[in-house]
Amino acid sequence: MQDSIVIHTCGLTKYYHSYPGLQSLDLTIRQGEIFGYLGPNGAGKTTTIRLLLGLLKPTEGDFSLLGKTITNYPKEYFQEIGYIPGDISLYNDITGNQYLKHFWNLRKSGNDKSNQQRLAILKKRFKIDYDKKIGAYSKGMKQVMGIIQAFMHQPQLLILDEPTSGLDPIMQELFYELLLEEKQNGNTVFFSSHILSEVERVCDRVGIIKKGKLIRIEELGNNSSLIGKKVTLTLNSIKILPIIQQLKGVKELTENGNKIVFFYSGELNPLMQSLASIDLTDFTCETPSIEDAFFKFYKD
Amino acid sequence: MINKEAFNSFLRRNLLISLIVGLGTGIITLFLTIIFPATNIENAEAISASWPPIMKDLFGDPIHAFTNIYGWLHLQIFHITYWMVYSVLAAMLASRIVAIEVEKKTIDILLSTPLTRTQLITSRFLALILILLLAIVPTFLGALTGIALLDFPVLWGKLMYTFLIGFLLMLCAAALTLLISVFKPGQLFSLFTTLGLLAFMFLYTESLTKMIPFVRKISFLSLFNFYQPSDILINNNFFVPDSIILFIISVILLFASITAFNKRDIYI
Repeated sequence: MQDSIVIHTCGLTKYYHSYPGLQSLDLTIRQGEIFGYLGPNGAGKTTTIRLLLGLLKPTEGDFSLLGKTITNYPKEYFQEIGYIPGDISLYNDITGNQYLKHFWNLRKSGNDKSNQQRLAILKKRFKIDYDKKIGAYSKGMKQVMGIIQAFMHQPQLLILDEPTSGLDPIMQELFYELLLEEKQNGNTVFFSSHILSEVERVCDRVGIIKKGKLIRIEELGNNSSLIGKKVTLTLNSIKILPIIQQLKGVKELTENGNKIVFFYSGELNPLMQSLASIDLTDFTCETPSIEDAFFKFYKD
Repeated sequence: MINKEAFNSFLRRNLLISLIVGLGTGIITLFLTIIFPATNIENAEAISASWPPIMKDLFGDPIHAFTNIYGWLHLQIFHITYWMVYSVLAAMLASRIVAIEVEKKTIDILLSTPLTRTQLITSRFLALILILLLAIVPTFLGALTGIALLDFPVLWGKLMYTFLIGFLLMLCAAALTLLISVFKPGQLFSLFTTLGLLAFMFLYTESLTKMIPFVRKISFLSLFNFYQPSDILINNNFFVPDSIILFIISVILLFASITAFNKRDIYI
């Protein structure tokens, strides 16, 4: 089961008139994976998600969800999908409980005891006033409603478009726990975000999308391959700059006063040998954060 | 084809406003019915002679209206302007089927459930039919009570058939709004475009067809060409094809809406 493909796209393309929203997306996401989908606003994250949900029709290409191609994909399969939209909007004239009941009935969850327990647990975990009209809810409370409606029927696939938007740190923490529980239960999460720290924290892999094109997919456990190690040197003299520049594997070198920052790919020994002769006042070598990777890819 | 929850939720959220409108028009109907003047024929002829032809075209000949309770009902209750109130209600409800969901960006979550686009439209349109039926019941009862209070014979066939074609006219207005809202999902846009089209069709039937001989030949282009309550109430002419045509038009508009909605991208 671990190896079964949950999302597979092949040349998925969407043009808005002549503007490319998404270009030739080839992506495979397996069961039990939390896949982060990173990109700035307008990069094509929401277009991808809305294509997967059938809200937009692809200009070209094909995709399958839960092993079924979209052409023979009966809507009943959406029972196995939970979705949180980016800019969440709910019915303001009904209460939180009425809203959840509405979606419970639309998904025909009926008297399923397991789902009822799940809903009760979610409501206990995210404590808000469910008897209040949604119109009186804060943005964070509305986001909680979105999370509960997406998770309450225990779907196999969760498609989340910037799901923590508006959540306070405590609610965010609860949400991350929920995601990791889903992963443990073998469910798959497709998680779009531009909050890099959360992607780094919960995702197994990250796809980086730029101007409608998926430019890179990286395993997050091994993100050194993305841009190498981040090295920061504090020096007494900056005359050694040419020595550093000549080193093989040094990229993105920046100089700020007596501080030099660069990314280094390759074996550490040659670097350490070169640095041994330099008069350093401080030295750090760290695994770069996803933020570093993000800025590297987007600065052009 | 029908989703019970989509049907029930639409009914729950729109029933109250429809019942208020229905009750209000029901009371007005009763009032308008019982003020029937029952003028004698000589006086009615004098009134008729004083009316310019255009008024007779628009409201019917006062000879019938002031001497016959069913002619009076035609003038007061079944006149197009009266049913425009219901058409506004029908168009408003229809704009809440798709347009409001897109406009308020709630459509994404809705369609991420097993609910199909076809089910969304058909279930809600069925609920709309029920709401409209409930909304015209007080008007029907108001007219019925008025006739009974005035001690005139209740001609069920006439009354029910006239209400039927009035109801079918509303259904066409609703389906037209729905179709417009699928292409341009704005609640106010679809509502006012429908009302604008209905107003144009009204003028087309009542003025253009009478002024321009050629237009008379293509009078069928207006929905109001098939709404002829005077034929039923005054001339006892139950022209069944009119109701069938109105029904077919509403079904065609509904299917066109479903087809277009299924094929189109949903932008929010």
